Amino acid sequence: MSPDSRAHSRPVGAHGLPVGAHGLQPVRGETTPLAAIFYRHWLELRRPVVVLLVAAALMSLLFPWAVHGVSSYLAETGNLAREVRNVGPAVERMPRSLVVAWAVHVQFLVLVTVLVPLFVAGTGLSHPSPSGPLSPRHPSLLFTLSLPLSRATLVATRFAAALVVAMTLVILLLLMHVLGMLVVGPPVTLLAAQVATMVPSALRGLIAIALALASLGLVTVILREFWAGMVTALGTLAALHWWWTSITHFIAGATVGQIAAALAGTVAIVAASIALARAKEY
Amino acid sequence: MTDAAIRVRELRKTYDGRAVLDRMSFDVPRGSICGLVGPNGAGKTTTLRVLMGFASAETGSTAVLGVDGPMTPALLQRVAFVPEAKDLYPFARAGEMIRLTRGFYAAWDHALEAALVGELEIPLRTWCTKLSKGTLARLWLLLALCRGAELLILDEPTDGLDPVALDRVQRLLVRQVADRGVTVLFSTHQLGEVEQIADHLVMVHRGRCVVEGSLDDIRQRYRVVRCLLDDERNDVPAALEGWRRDGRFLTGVSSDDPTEMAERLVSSGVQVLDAQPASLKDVFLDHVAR
Repeated sequence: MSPDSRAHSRPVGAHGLPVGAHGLQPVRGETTPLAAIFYRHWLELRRPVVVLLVAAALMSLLFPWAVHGVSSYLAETGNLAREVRNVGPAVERMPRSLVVAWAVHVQFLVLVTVLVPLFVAGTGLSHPSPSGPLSPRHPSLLFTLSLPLSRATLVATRFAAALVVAMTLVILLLLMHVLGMLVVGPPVTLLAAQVATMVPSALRGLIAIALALASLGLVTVILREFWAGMVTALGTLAALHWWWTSITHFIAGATVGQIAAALAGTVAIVAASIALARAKEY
Repeated sequence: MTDAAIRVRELRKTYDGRAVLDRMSFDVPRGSICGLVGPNGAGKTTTLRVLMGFASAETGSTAVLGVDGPMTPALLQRVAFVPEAKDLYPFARAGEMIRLTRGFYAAWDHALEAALVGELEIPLRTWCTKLSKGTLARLWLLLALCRGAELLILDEPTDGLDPVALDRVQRLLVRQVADRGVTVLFSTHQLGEVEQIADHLVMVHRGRCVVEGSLDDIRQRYRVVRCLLDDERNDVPAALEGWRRDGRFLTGVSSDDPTEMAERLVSSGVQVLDAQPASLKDVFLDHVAR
């Protein structure tokens, strides 16, 4: 059949509508295809996940050496109290035998708090592209927008997917660091109490990462490619230079009030991202 | 429920104070292949973006498949879209794009997918960033056609296709309409493409619909009229303003009845010489040149 000979005499059903046209098809379900949505997020995140896993492996390998080195240094210089006080106020209440490994773990968590958002933050309306690390206006965005998926679902599930990546990384780091303590040797012994101090820190680290993920996600919704990249770069520098101590204190021993504020802030920022994504034109 | 698959009424949208859509109104009948044509900047892409819910109009309304208002996820299950910029995810392979899209649509046509992968020569293991413009266009069409959608909204769908691929795609679109009764609205600059596969036309210019109707009606309605000015008349009558003048001859496109027109113009010192059926190009140039 040539295009010219198109069938104007196509089969016609009741009411003159062609067979198969609207009204003659079964009503389709309106359930959200969650598996497909998360498959989409997985495709987007798999490369950054590999990079983060490599980073986590390096941090795991470095952990025993870092703990051993810091312990030896502190034992030689006798500066334990002064040095570890920088980790956070919680350290002063801890027995000295627990302090070093925990303090090193906290420092690695701070590093993860900076790294993870850089690699996996997003709303589904922006994603890595050859043109840059964050590209809110990549043309393939129109493919996402043409899917039967609300922008609210897209932003929320994308945030959830990034959070799952962060959670996996934090748990992996915790496990590897606990295992690492086994090979450290005399200065540190594996104690249940030690693990018990690291787990709450890991949870607080996860809360800090969630807040950073939400904030960076919002940046990509608000700003265009260049400015999003600029703000991300400046934010990372600020985190490394000025906020490192604040993040360390939060992960080391945030109060209930601080944790509640961080959680509320995360929820509010994700809600703001959803509202902006819905209102925005593409 | 309206019999139009798409109804657009009085859409108005401005960018930086310039009206991109200026009371745009038209209908696309169900089961038709409708060509949306117009010069660059006429408002074609903006109209499609408003229809898809990517942008909003300041005033006016749209209805898609009988549903008023903006697109919802439920409605997007019944509509497939191909944009002007045919990039796909830089982080996915062609085969993964198909698998991903398949997961969103209950009515996905697996048999058609298998057929089109071969027919359109889609390299499944190639990253989308490595695909040529033509292959990306073919992949987009595969993703649109297999959704089992009732309405295809295609923005320059054949842009970047070589003549062989163009022919294949045109046949595919016609087959979809003939077999499944889907409605197709496609924008294009190629009037020949409209004449080849469309049965309905919406011509837009400066944000407005200037010609609308079935292709057969438009061909019957519009004529290229040639007139002769009387010797004593040097100026062009107001009714023929904008017509091409060559000495005492005037040529233009009109939808008026030639006999009535001749009677009307004779008192103005103008003689209608002949009226030939107008081609789409004649109609297009007439409206764009005005």
